[in-house]
Amino acid sequence: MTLNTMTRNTWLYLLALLLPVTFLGVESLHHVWARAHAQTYDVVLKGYDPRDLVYGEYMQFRIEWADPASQKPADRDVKDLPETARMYLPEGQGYDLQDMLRDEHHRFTANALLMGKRASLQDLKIDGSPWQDALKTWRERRAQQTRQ
Amino acid sequence: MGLEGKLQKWVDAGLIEPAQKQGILSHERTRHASTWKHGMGMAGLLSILLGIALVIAANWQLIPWQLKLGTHFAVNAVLTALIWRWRHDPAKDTHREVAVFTLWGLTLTLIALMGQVFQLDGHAYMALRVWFWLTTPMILLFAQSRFIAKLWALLFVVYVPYDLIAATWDLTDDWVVRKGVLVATGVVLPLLAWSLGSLPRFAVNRPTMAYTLRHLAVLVALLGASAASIEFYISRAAGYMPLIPAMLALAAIAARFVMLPRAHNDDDRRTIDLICMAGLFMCVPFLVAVKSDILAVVHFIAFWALAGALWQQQDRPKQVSTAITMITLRLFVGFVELFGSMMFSGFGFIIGGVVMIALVKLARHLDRWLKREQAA
Repeated sequence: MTLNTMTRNTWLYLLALLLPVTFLGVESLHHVWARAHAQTYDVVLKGYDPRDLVYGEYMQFRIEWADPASQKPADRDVKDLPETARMYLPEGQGYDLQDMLRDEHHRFTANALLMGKRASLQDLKIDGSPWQDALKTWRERRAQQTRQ
Repeated sequence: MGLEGKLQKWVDAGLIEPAQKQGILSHERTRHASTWKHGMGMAGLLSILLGIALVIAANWQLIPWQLKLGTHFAVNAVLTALIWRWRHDPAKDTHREVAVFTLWGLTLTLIALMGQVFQLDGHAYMALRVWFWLTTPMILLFAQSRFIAKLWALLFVVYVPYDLIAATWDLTDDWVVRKGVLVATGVVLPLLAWSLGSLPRFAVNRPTMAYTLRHLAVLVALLGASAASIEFYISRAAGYMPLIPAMLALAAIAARFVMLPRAHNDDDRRTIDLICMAGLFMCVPFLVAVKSDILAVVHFIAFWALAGALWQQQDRPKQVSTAITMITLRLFVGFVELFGSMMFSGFGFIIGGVVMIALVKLARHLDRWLKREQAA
């Protein structure tokens, strides 16, 4: 069976085939545009770390808008701002970051991109350092304590 | 015994000529040689792909998101172009099927990658929902192999009812709406699947997918009507609204009269009868405001008995046997439900065993009798 008999429906077939890549392409461009035009604020974070079967490992953060160290838009009430945001992480990092987050001595901050009622996080920092560096130091200290 | 020995026995018995034996052996040798060659080629290709995947995975954090996303889009676009290019080429049927299957899977990984790159909120089931509905038109129109058709059908049977019901459960706590959606899914989904699978142009151009859809309709209808009997075990305290199942029952009856004139043959007519009857049986437990173990058994057995009768008319002994097996099993489960406490005693086990043997004997006797009748 070939598709020769379907030439009358060529457009329908083309549409069905192009639908996934076109839809996801437009969606991606929309996200790129939204990120480029979103307002950004440095915020303080609290949260926990669940996992997702499809997307992989991530941290689910609660944004502490009420913290004096958090920047917030002047023209919006805190109640209208997104309370949570998610940050995807490379595999194998989530659980250690969760342990760090539970330790009250560490301060998690990030740059929040506000897009309507949704916030997207970037530049996660722990105690002012990029999270990768802070996590490395924390792991080294933990290894030292284990040896002792 | 090897093939050669078997063939020699057939030659000795006069079933085939020696020349035919040599022809078969020669064909098998050529086929095995090409299987080995293709197998080794595929193993090499798999090794290369695994190597590439490992190199990418090891450096995942270092790859800029633009490169990750751009490359994924490029791969998907190339596959899309190849499928389109190969659509008229019968020599590329296998290539096209592999490309369709790969693009199907890669669309899901692309959605997952977008979730990671753009830090999107949402649950895994939302990503699966987008993937399933985005790719379904492509699968329906381009996939031709039974493998993809069956895989898609399996996803459809498991995912679509689950998604419809889960979305309703999330949206509302109202049991009238929840049960309404539950019954509507069981009644409407098989009718839609059957109608789509019976569209003449679709059935001619996509026979495998159309056939799968029609089978899917019957399977969903059977599962829905059978599972509906569970409603007889549930208290009517909440969510009793007979109007919705009554309307859906009328819709199932109306659908029968709309679809029957469009059926191509008697076999299709009986199958439409079966799907619409399953729709009715789906509605009955939600219409009758009674909590009863007995009615649950009666509902289940009546449905499978009527289904068996329709299959008997269609000359389908295998399905008739299935119906008899289902009835037998349900009778035994019903017996355990009614006299379950007896099971704790020795007499209970003895009676249970006797009932089980008697039911199996009865079922086998009925099965044999029906097959004899059919043969006559």
